[in-house]
Amino acid sequence: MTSTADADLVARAKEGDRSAFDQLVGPLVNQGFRLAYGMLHDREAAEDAVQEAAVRSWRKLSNLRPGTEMRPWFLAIVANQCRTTMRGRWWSVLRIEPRTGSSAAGFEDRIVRGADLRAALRKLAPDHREVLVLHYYLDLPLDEIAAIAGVPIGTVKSRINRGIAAMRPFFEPVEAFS
Amino acid sequence: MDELIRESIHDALDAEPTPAGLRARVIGSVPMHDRTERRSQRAPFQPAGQFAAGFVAALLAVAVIAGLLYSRHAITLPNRAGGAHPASPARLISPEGIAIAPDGTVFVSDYDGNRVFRLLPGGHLVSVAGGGVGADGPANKTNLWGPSALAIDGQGNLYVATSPGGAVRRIDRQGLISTVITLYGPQGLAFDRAGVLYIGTYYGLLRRIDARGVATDLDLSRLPSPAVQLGNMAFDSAGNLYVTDRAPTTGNSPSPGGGCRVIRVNLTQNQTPIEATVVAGTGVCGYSGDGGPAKSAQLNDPNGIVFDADGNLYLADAANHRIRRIDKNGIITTVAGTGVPGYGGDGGPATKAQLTYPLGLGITVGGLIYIADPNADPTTTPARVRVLRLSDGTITSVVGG
Repeated sequence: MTSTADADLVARAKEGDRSAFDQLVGPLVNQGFRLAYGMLHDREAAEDAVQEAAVRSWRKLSNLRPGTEMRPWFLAIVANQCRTTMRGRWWSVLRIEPRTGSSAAGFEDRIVRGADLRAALRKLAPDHREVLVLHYYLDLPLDEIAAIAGVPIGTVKSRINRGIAAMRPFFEPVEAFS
Repeated sequence: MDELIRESIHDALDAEPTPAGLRARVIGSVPMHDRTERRSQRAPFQPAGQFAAGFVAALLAVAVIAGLLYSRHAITLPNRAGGAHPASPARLISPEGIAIAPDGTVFVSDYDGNRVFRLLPGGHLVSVAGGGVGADGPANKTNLWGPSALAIDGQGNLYVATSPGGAVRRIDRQGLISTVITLYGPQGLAFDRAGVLYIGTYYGLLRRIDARGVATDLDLSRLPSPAVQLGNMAFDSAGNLYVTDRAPTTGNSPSPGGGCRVIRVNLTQNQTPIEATVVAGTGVCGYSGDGGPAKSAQLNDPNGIVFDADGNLYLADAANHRIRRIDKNGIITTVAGTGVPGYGGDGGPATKAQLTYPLGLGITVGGLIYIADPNADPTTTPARVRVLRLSDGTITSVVGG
C-alpha cells in the first residue's frame, strides 16, 4: 500500500512548504533513484533524473487530486524523465569516471554476472527495461506498473514476457507469464 | 523461477546503492520559491478592453518564443551537491567555438578558460571538458589548452581543436577524451556527410582525415594567393567546404592577396590541386562592400561560418565586430553589429547592437545563430554568448548578459 496525496500537505507544498513536499515525495526518492538507475545504468544520470522529476512533480502538484496514490504518480514522472534522458543528450550522462566496484575474491563471478546482466538490460527496449525494473527490482504490483507506464496490465505482462525472453540466457530456465 | 529473475536483477542493480543523502539533496534542490516569487512580482491584471487582451496575447507570444529560444527545457536545476559537473557560476573568459548538436544542445569552447562548456537554459554553463591536469581519459579531468573550434560527428562525439595545444581531441559518448591527431594550430573543424573530418590550421594547412584515420593534406595552390591562416569551416548543402582565411591583423594582410577572405573548396571532384576559389573578401583586410558582391567586399579576420536552411552564409567578421551574410546571389550585408566594439543592443535590432570581436558561430534548425562574443577586457565586462534570431533580426545575450 502506498501513501496518498493528503490535501493539506499538497496545499502546503504548493505554497512552498518544503517539509510538506518532503513528506509527500521524500519517501519515494530512494525508489525513484533505483528505477532511474535501472533504466539509465548511470549513477550521475539517475541522480539528475530523480532531481528533475522532483522539480517536475512540485510543478505538477496543482494537478494532483487528494487521494491520488503518490508512488505511481511520482515514479511515472521519474520514468518519463528517464525516457527523455535516453532519447536525449549523451552529454547529460557524461561520467567523470567509472565507479569502481568491489573486486574482492569470491564476489568476482557475481560482479561479472551482474555486469553482463546490466549490459543485457541496457540492450533492451526502454519500455521492456522499465517494466522489468519496476516489477523485479522495485517489486511493484502489475496494476501500479500499468499506471506508471501508462499502459494496460496486459501490455505490462506482454512487455515483461518479451523482456525476459530477450534476456533468456541469464534466466535459464525461464518462467514467464501465461 | 520468478525469484531467480528477481534475485539476478537485484544482484545486477544493487551494485549501485542509492547515494547517501540523496533525499535531502533532491528535496532541497527543488526551487520551491519560484512560483511564489513570480506571483508576487506579477503586476496586477487590469483588463482594459481589447487593448489589454491584445497586450496579454503579445506577452504570451513572447513567452512562447522565449521558451523556444531557450530550448525545450523549462527547468534549471541547481547544481547537484557533489556532482560530477560543476555548473554555474562558471564564467566565460573568451568564448571562441560553438557547436550545436542535432537536438539543439549548445557547446561553447572557452579559449582562455581552457574548458568546453554545455550551455543550459538561463545562461548556466556545465563544464564538459578541461580544467584538469590529465591527458586522455575522463574529459572533465583533462587539460585542454586553448580550445577553439568544435564539431560533432554523426555518432554524437564532440571534437575540440586546441590550437596552442596542437591537437584535435574527441570526447566520446561516455565522456572520455582522446587525441585524434596532433598537428600545429588547428583552428577549424568540420565533418562532411561521409564522416570525413576536415581540419584547417593556423598555418594555412587544410587536412582531411577519413573514417579509417588516414590523413591527407589538400593542395590549395589553385587559389590566387596562398591561404594564410585557416579558421572555421562549414559545408553547404551541395557538399562544398567553405573555410575562412583569417589573418588577424587590423591593417593589410601579412601576405599580399591572402587572408581576410572566404574560400570555397570543391570536394566533389577528386583533383590535385583541388578546386578552390575565393567567394568573399579581396585579400586586403578592412571593411567595405555591404550591398554589393562579396568578392569585392573587405573582411577583417573572418572566422565563424554557418549556413542557414536557405543556403545563405553567415560570417563572423571578427575584427569588424560584425556578423555578415552572403546570400545565395553572392551579395554581402551586415546583419549584426555596428562595427563599434561593445555590448549594447540586446533585445533590439541586431544591426544596431554592438559586438566585440565575434569569433564562433553556430546555427540551430530553427534559425537561431549563436555567437561567441569574447571579451576585450575581462576585468570589466563579462564575455557573452549572444543569439541572433533570423526570423526578426533581433539579438539577445544568453550568457553574460
